[in-house]
Amino acid sequence: MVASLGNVSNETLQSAVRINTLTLRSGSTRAGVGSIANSGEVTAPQIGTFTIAHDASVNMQVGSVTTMTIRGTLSNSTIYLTTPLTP
Amino acid sequence: MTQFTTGALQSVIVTSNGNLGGIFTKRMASSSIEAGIVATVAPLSLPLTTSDFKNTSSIAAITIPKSASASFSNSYVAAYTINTASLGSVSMTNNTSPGTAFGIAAHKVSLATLFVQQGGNKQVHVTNPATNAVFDNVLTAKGITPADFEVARGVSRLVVTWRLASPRAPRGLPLPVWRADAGFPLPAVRR
Repeated sequence: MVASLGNVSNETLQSAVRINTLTLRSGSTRAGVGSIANSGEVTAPQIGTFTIAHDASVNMQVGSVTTMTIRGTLSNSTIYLTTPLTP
Repeated sequence: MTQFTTGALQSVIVTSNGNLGGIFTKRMASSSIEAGIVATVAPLSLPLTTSDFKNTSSIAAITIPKSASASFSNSYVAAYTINTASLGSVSMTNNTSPGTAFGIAAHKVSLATLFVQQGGNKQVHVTNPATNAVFDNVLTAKGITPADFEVARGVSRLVVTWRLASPRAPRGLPLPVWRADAGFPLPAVRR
């Protein structure tokens, strides 16, 4: 699955399957900000590439993320990666 | 997570049950990044004992460039192994709650590099400090006054407990339990 979103605020994104690419871009309502606001959550078993173009505040619980890039400031956020260490 | 890149981290908690790869940010403030730490350790605190590690997760590298102001402040990085920690300009005092330790905690920190603004911009470079006292000695030798920022903090060797089955163990008795603080050789077992 590939998801490319604009400005996201106080939304929940839940996926039962792996998200290969998740991209948030800047929105028109808050110039220069592409964000998932504080109460927004991302839940997925895996995310391949997660990119946010500008500042972000996101709570996410995923099995694993391969690459995560936030080009702005990540603030007031919680990231929980649940996949355990495998020998 | 193989690669984690941000412009800055402000009040962010990253908790991973497994390994973390390369972490790059220009500033880290009031945040924590932990890999393989038990849930009883609060996110904005350092693990204190071997039992605070639930596995041997590692952080491959955390890189923060130096800057005119503190690029690493009131933050926490912890994992069983931290290969490279380049923290940029470090505020030695916990500005949020003075007297409370912050910094890096691990069984092994292979390499830690930071800059401290005390009587000039001094670079501190330590390789696998055994305890925080060793790190403090490096600071003192550089003319830097140790404060709340810590590296290693004396979090020592992981205690490994396992059972050895003995063919001569009398039936009904518990099997012997050996404890080794990652120390070898193992106790001799007579067969």
